[in-house]
Amino acid sequence: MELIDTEYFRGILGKSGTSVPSFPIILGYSIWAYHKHTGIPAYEIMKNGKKHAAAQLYVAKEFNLPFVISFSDLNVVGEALGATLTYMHDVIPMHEIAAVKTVEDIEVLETADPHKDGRMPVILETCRNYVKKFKNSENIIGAGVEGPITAAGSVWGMENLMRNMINNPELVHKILEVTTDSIIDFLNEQMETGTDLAVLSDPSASCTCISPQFFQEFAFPYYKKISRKVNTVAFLIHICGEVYNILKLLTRVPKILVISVDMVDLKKAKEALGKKFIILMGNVSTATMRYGTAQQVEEEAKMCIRAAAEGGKFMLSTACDIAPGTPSVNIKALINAGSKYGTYPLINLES
Amino acid sequence: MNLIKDLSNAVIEGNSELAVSIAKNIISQGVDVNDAIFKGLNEGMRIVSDLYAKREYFLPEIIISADALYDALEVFKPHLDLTNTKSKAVVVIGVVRGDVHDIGKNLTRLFLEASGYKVIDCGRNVQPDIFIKTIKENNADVLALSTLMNPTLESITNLIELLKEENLEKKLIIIIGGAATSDQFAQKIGVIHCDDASKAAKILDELILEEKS
Repeated sequence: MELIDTEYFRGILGKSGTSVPSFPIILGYSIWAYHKHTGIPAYEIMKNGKKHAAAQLYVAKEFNLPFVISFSDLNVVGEALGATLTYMHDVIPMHEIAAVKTVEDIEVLETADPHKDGRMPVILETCRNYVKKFKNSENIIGAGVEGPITAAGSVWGMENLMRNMINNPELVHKILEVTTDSIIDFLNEQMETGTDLAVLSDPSASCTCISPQFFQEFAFPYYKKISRKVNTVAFLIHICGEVYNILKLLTRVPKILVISVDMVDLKKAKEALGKKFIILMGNVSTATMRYGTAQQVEEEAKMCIRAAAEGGKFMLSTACDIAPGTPSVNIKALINAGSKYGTYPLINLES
Repeated sequence: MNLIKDLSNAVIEGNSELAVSIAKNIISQGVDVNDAIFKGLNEGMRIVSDLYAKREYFLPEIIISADALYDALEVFKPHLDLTNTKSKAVVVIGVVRGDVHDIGKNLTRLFLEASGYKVIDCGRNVQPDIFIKTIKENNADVLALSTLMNPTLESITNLIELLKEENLEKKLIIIIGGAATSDQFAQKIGVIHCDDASKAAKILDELILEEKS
């Protein structure tokens, strides 16, 4: 199923009578919400494909969202390659110990096996559960994983990775080759289950962390490789942090369809994306979602629509995964804002 | 003075080897070690902090500058005279419970130390009772909390509640930072927000000056 074939996402074409699609990012949030709802510990949900799928399906049903994504944390590849995580009772796990410590460890690092390593089999099982549930429907299923830089940080420790971008770039490329190949194999296996598009989330590649030059050297070639080698019609890329200076490069990633942004002026970002059919997605603050009022969410949503919805190619969403504890009324306010203020032609914006 | 300037430049360039070699020269030539640290290493790091604020430097550049600073500091340590050093304030810093992302915290510590603060680092994934014990033991003036992730914002609010129960909240300047934090969140829980590690020292300088006047 392609995005533009569905009723919910039709607004991305910006045609009269359709509305800006609007939804929050609910990956880690779903684990917390499902844990709250069922009492099942988060560590159990994370390690069981059926329960892991049930978590996002529960939230999708709660808010009538017509999509699900296969992953909920950004340490899947890292863990599969040997990083140690600490599993939590109520939220997603956190990274504890890097997989490699020495140059020798890096030399022998091998691509992860999606059917054996870490929680990759759990994610594949999650995909199969989604497909079983959503087959022949208008729902979109995203195959997903963390991006190559974030995965490499999980494998080597983020400080080591960053330090060696200057001190030993060859070694960094060696790790990136392994994380990239692991991502490709893993996403292809997920696509094989019947998912619709691929999602990459790579916060450590943002310009809050590395310069646009380093993005070009250490991220861009691997994004292109992933995109070329993964059997998908489209990619959604999410990068938290500052991204304006790398947007133009991102438009050159093959098959890129959606760029989900955090810290960026949406109006400038939309201009930077130019005429290509690339959808901009963002960027209501997750702090407003968690600690603001429904009215504040609506105001921010309205500002996003005003900045970027004209002419379509825009989806109203959150800047990042929403926090556990985000009030339902705020989630609903964001979802409703799409039709309330974002129905084309955009005449309701001044109200 | 040239050696000190050279040391500062070695930090800015992130050249550990050069920084260590200059530090050894400083020792052998009998240059004041405290001067070398404050006018050389710390001044270099202050400039690095400015370069990060202007986004001319990014995390890789800061990390290798920090490496150069710490490597040179190792050379100076045995020769340090700590009798007359007075810090601006005592800061307890840490990444809150549930989060292990500590690059931002480490940078903040570095920038604060470079600006003359005594910083006690509780590490990452810090339990609330450890923060409270460290604050009490060191009679801290400032509590600096960091988190990158949305789920752990809750750990900050819980810790603030505990500080209130312990009657510590009013005695402290509490400053928070990290990708998940925001002005709005900080206002809501009644603390100071710092959106960039390089700005922490300036914010604290102003607040402390305000308190004193």
